[in-house]
Amino acid sequence: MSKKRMTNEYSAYIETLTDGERSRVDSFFRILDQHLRLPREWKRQLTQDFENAILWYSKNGVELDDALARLAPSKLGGFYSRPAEEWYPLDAAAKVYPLSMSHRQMAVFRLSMYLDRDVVPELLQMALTFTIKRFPFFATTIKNGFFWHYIDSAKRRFPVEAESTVPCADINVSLTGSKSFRVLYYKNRVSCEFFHILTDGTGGTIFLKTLVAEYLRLMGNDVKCVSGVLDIDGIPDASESADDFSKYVSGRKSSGFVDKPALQMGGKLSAVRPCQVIHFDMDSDSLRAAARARGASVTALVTAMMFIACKSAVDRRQGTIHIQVPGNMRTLFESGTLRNFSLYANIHLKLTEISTVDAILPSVKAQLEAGFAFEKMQEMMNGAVKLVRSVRFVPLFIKCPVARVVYGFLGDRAFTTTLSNLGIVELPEGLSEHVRKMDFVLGTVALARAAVSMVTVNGVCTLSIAKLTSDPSFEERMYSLFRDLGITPRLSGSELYSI
Amino acid sequence: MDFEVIYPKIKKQSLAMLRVRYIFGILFLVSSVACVAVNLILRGPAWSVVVLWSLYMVWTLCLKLPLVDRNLINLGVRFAVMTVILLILIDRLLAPGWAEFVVPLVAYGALIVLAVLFFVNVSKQRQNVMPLVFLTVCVVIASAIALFVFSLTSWPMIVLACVAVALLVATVFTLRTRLFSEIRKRFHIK
Repeated sequence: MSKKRMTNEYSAYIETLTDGERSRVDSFFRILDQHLRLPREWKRQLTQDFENAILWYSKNGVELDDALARLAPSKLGGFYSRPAEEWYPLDAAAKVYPLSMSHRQMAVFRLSMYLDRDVVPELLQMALTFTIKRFPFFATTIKNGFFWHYIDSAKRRFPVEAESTVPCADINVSLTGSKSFRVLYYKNRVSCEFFHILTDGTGGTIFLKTLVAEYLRLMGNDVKCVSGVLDIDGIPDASESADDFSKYVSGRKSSGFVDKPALQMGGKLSAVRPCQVIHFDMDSDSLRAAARARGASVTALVTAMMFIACKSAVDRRQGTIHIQVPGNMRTLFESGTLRNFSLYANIHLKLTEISTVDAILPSVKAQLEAGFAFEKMQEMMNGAVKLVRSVRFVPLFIKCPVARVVYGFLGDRAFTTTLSNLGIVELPEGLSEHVRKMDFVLGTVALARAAVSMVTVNGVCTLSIAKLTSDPSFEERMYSLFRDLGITPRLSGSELYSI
Repeated sequence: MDFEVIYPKIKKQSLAMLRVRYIFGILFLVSSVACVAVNLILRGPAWSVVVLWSLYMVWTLCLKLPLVDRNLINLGVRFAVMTVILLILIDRLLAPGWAEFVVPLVAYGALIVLAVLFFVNVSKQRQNVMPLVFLTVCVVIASAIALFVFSLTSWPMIVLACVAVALLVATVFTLRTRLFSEIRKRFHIK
């Protein structure tokens, strides 16, 4: 609906109110005005968001007083009434993303929740407006420093958008106050896409859960602030925006990141990135049972299956397939940070060693256990922080081109594909009943033709494949391997995007 | 493999800019090599340096814009600095004798335009002020050297020095402690 028509409709609605009601609405907007110390245009847009929400409530039979209570301006806190003063240096893992990004490639990932009914954009917008104040670290924009990039606070309206681009499309972070994440909606799906400088999958999940919980509250549901849903009226804790890499680094042994080049899957690289996203929805209990029957974790089982699928998607008959498996450092180190705090293990198998899932599973399992051992992760973290510290006095205009070449060639060539498993996402009462499933999509990199990610919620495990080629060999093999395990995935996804 | 499509029809992603950049990249590369080769063969003044710098200017200011901090002040500062370098190159390599008069004129014109961009919307442009501050400080130092070391006392040089000092004072006065906060952010090594 056009903005002008919406405004006219709102004016017409106000005309229908009694004097008492109109005075309560006037008082509501007077209080709102006090909370909004923003440039005129953003203030106008935010005020209009409130008007649209009130209008939606009136059309859906919600009493005016109830609507005004749900939208109380006090829920904005002082977020929009105070100037943007905060700034944050990037954490050790995030530093590489702005250095290596190009006009065609940006590290973006996406988390989505599928609700039991279609999303109401007016209320989702309000939910984001109320939620963002709890995540001041997300209300930021990236800036160039002389030695490093940093993130600077940006007090602005953060709009929700109807989905209209490919998943994980680049986010325009170049302008003054540009946001580093976006919230999208399509039918019953709410998606958040994050530039990786902000957070990792765990932090992103907490943001999405808190956002959807607030949305459901605005819809009239009662959602408790437990199981990773933050209280939006709570005061953000310093630990949430802490760089825990620096906190836990120790001066002991460190390990490097350079690895031998991996075999890459075949298929012409697409100009549109990703060119397709495919989701496999599975019963999580069946998948876990299949893994347990083999004495392995779900991650190990799926990694082993990916080796087989990669083998069927490469043309060469010699070489090594490397699968990068990110791991959550919060499981090893006590941390409440919402920023990046994950590293990865690189699992290798020679093409000639890859035969059946059961045959390679012990090796995959052993490599995963070794890769995610505390000492190994500590060494890797030491290595990351040491690397960052060693180049801290090199100006950004020198670091940028070097990092682009190193990351583009050495980083991307070092792995065939990625498997990122977020694990089981716990949802609190009130939210759980309204969420059918979640999905987690990784943005594609320069060469790897597929990026695989998984998340489980409410007994549904969703494996997503973001593709960089139209060659279907990889996902077809994955599908047949799941069927061989006795699990028939329900398939969904996007059409093949092409220009 | 058949599956349910759960994504909307997307807006066609425009790859036109990528293609334009690719074509111009090749053209610029070929032209640069050709100009340098012709210049070396024919000898004479190093005009190819002016061509190379001009191509680099077009590349960075029109075709490959920055991915971060793409704001008017930053682009304006880049444009001003590159134009001044181009003028100095033309003066030194092709037609000497006018730069010490023209360069200060161009520089103070640029400073005034950038100052207007900043002061029209201080609250928004505060985050973008550092390139302007760097430029202003550099201009103050350069004009001081020109005036007191090389005794270049043409009126445009005097005006440039005055405009730069006035702009610096006005910026410090407007931003006060926030300027130091901006400097801390820009030069952090954490």
